Amino acid sequence: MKYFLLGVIVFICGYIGYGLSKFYIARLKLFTSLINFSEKLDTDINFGKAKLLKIIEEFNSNSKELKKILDSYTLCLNEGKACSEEIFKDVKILKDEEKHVILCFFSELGKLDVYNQTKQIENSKIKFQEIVNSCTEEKKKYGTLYLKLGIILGLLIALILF
Amino acid sequence: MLGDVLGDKLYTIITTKFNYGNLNELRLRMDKPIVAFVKGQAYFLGENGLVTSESSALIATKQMIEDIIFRASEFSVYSINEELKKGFIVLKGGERLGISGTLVVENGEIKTLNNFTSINIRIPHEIKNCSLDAFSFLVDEEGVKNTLIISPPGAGKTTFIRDFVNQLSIRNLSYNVLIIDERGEIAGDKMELNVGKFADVLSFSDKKTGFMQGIRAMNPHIIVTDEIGGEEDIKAVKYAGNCGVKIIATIHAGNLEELKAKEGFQDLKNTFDRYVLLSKRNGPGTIEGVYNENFSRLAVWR
Repeated sequence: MKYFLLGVIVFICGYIGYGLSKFYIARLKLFTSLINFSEKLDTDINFGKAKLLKIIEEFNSNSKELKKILDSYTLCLNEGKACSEEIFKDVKILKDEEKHVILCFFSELGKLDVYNQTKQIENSKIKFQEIVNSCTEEKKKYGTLYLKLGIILGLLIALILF
Repeated sequence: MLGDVLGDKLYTIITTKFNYGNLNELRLRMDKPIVAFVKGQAYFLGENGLVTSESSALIATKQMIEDIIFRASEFSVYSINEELKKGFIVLKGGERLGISGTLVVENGEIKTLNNFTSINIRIPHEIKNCSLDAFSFLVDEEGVKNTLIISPPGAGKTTFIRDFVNQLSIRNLSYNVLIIDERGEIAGDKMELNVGKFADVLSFSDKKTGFMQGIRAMNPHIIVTDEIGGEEDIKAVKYAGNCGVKIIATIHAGNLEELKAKEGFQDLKNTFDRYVLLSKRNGPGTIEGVYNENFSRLAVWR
């Protein structure tokens, strides 16, 4: 029984560490998906002049957070509301300046002619790439660190209790 | 559809504060009062409906104009560049949004229109039987007469020809009617407006292409088209006449003298057997008279 409880403590600490490292993975996924989304927009706008809602509907995001943002953004459009910070209401992993970059991107979507829209998407992609670079660094630094720290902490508690 | 485009506030005003059925046109100019044309008369649009005082009028903002165009494009302005180049968008209900702003021209070619500053929303209405008084002068046992409908802008030409086509259908006069709908105003963007059961529609085509293509492909007895004017239009109408196709067309002119003075009209003079003059005297669609090929009045309404 004692060994079982110690095992549970190590597992819980490890899981907390994993949860903290997931934060960095999710951020990286979000911005990588935003780049993929921008690329899809670029192609669909230039070659098919597809409607924005159709592009969003067809986009298969591998980031849950981006999916939440796209859902809120679509809702804003359909309700005739201006694009605001409301689109981040279910997303807790973004810094203020990152929210600003994403908000600028969505605020201009669909409002320009093909030439200027393509340029706007290109500029946003550059900014997203910069964030992806820093997210990759963050993930390298802290991603596995928290997991390791969690397990070590669990083992330490187990040792003390043992 | 207009509700989706205008936004809740404006749409509520135009549909609840006065009789929407009488609204012909809505004009939004940046930082200027919104103007509504109701039964051909201009009013300002206020929070409580139509007003005559400018101080109670709603002011159209740049944001309001941009939002309307954004929604009209289904949130994709980049997808309507061809329409912007022509200066108008047709909504699913047949409403036409004329747009002005900055034209981007390169090497003499229009690239796009941006920095939108004004919108003119024309609202089509189906006025049942509005062509009925003139109908018997335009159709006899020999068939449909080549007819030119004349009126100043906004006096009901399009509504008249739409109803006329429908009247043919109601009487089971099963002529193959081809509507060359250059701006999508006669039959609507996706044939939402009632043009009867014997009409084919060729939408958003210029008249030259539309007449050639339509005659070849659809073998029509009658071609119906709106707003003839330029040299190409006249050639297209004459081509149809030579092919034995009857023409029902409209043209901008305030009266017969204005019509006769129009450049190119002399070439068309022998094409038409009937002229119907419309005005806004008792509201758009008022028939002032029906004339024969020699401009002798056949009927007059008071």
